[in-house]
Amino acid sequence: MRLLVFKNKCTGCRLCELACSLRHEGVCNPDKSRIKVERRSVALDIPTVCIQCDKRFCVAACPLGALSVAENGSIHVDESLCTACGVCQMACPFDAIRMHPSKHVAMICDLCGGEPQCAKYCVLGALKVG
Amino acid sequence: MYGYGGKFLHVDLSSSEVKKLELGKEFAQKYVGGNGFGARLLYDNVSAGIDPLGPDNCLILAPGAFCGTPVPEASKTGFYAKSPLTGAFGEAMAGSGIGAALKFAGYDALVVRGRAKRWSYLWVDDGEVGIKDASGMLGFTTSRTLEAIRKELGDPRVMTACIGPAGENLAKIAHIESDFRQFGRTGLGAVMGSKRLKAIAVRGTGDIELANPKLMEKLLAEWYGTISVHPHAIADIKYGTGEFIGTVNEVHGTFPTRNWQDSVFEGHKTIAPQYWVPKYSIKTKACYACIKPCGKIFVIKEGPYAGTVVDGPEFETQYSLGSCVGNSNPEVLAKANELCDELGLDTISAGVAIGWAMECYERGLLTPKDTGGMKMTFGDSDAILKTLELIAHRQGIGDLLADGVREAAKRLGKGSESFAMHVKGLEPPAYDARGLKGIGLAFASSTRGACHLRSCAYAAELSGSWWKFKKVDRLSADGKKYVATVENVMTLYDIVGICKFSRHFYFVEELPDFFKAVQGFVFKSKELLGLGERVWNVEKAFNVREGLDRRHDTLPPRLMNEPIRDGSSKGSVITREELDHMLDDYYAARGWDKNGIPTRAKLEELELKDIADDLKLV
Repeated sequence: MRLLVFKNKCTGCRLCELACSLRHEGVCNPDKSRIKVERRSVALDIPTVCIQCDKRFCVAACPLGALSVAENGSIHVDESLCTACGVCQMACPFDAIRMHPSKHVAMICDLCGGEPQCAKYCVLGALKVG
Repeated sequence: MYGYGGKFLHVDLSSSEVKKLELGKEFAQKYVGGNGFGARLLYDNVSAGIDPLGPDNCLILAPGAFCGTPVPEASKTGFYAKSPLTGAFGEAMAGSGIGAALKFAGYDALVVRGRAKRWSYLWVDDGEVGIKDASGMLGFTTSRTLEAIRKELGDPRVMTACIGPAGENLAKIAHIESDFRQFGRTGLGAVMGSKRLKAIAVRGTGDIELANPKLMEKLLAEWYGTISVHPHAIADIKYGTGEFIGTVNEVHGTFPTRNWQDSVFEGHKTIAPQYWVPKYSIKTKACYACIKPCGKIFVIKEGPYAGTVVDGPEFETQYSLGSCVGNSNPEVLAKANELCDELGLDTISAGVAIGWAMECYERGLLTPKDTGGMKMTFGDSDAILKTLELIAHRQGIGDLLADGVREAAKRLGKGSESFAMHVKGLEPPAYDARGLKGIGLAFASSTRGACHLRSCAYAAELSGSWWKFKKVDRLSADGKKYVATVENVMTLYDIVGICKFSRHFYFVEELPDFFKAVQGFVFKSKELLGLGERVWNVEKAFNVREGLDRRHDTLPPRLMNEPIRDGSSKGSVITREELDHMLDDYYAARGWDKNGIPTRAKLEELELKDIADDLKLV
């Protein structure tokens, strides 16, 4: 299972950020969302999220073994090991990893256990499960 | 408190003083947010009779109570001030993400007063608030201002609200641009300019906690399922807000054309989205938290307007810079829309002002001497585009039009007042009230002047029914007291920050569930209508305090003296007697006196005794 991103279909509504933070953190906060959307110009909205790439650069890069591949193909962050050192962020060519603003651990999409909220509420299908 | 940022942020640009006041629970429950906070804070922070463009006016930014949560369509945030265009209650709403950002930063409203010593922008970075130099951004268009601020702050996710040259030059029809959406109406860009405030920048990284997160997830799933497949949503996604332009033009015959001389536009087909979306639009765009996106990105690749990239034109702009100025060229329409967004002009007011000038020119009241040699006839592309630039920079004929049609007609005289289209100084939107009499009443009764959105009465007038109102006869002046109720409903939408296009999905009955999930407030539908009514009365009280009464609840002479000339509403007009009849019904429904002033009994019923005292009502 993986997330497919079609950026030109992104309307820039940013509901994905709210749905993600609500599911994972129980609050509304785009800074605690695993996906982020940047509205860069009148025509351009860019969603960025982990796409479960084949190479798993982040897993290989983590110096503490805090990252692993979960059964559904997403990246699992072992929060007891992660120190928010940022090496995985350096390694990710898609800029899809963010740091949790208060817990100081990496935040990586976990596919919401099989029903990613971001794709569920993406009305024009900029995000799809593939 | 659940669902809130928790504080009001007050900034005085004259003294650089910053105050953070706790949002009291009682105030939150009484006014709830958005329009409610905006109206009450404006009433309390601005005295009667002040100069709207002086330091005593306040510019208030208030996000809707559901902004920053996943309530579908909760995108709307409002700016509030005393309007320089109307001299009355000023309000402009947009679906910008700056409202959510302000709440994430911890504030449910921002109140800016005073005047900065030099051109500045306000930087709200969570708890840190600073006033920063903006002198290097003077003259910048709106998109360039956003770019400059994000570059200076080093964060591409900072949200801004800014003015273009029009606001800097105090054009009273200037808007505030934010998140590529527009706070268009009532000239609040000029209020921002008068404070030497080029922009407000916000970064919010905090939480909005919800009273019941699980219920929120459930409601989101349910409503997403309903809205995303709703025929109205599908139509909006396909063609945007102008999807029904052919209907209002041909079936109703109420599409104002050439400064409202006509009500049917023969060139409507090419400005309709059914024509230009397949040809020019590259994508669909949404406001914040919206799942029925109606924005259309219009791109022109060749010809004289190559390089135009704009979100729009929406329905109102298809009228104001299309039919109202006799323009049927979609490329000119898109270019004019882009100029307004970048220069910082409200497309409705700017288009109506140009339409008025064109009629003056064709009648010989304005001559080439007045227009700098420009041929200002209806449909002249160069005149439309050039005049927008002149308005924004207050040059030549643009200086006259920059104050709006009421002021312009007063200055020009020569009988031009008789076709100056405005109510209380605000130029009207795209609904010919002569063929939609309820919207005629709504234009007259609206606290901010000629407005379609404060009531959305056009919904019932066009289709004959909306919500619990059935068999609405658009050509009759009878049975229009329902306008008072729909004003209360739409005020409620503005309080919670839900888009008016949600009226196809959400009715008052649906809102209590969202309150349970977000704030944990328990409201009955009836109480919510009372909330809308309370806030409407606060706005009305603001206007009463400014000396407005029944005399100001009127319509442009053209709508009362000149019947519609052609089309399916041919012959229809709103006579003085009909308007009086509608106003009598309306005031009675509102519990106001015959002069249109709220009674003490009504205000006390709405828990506004302090306002009744302030107005010295007996």
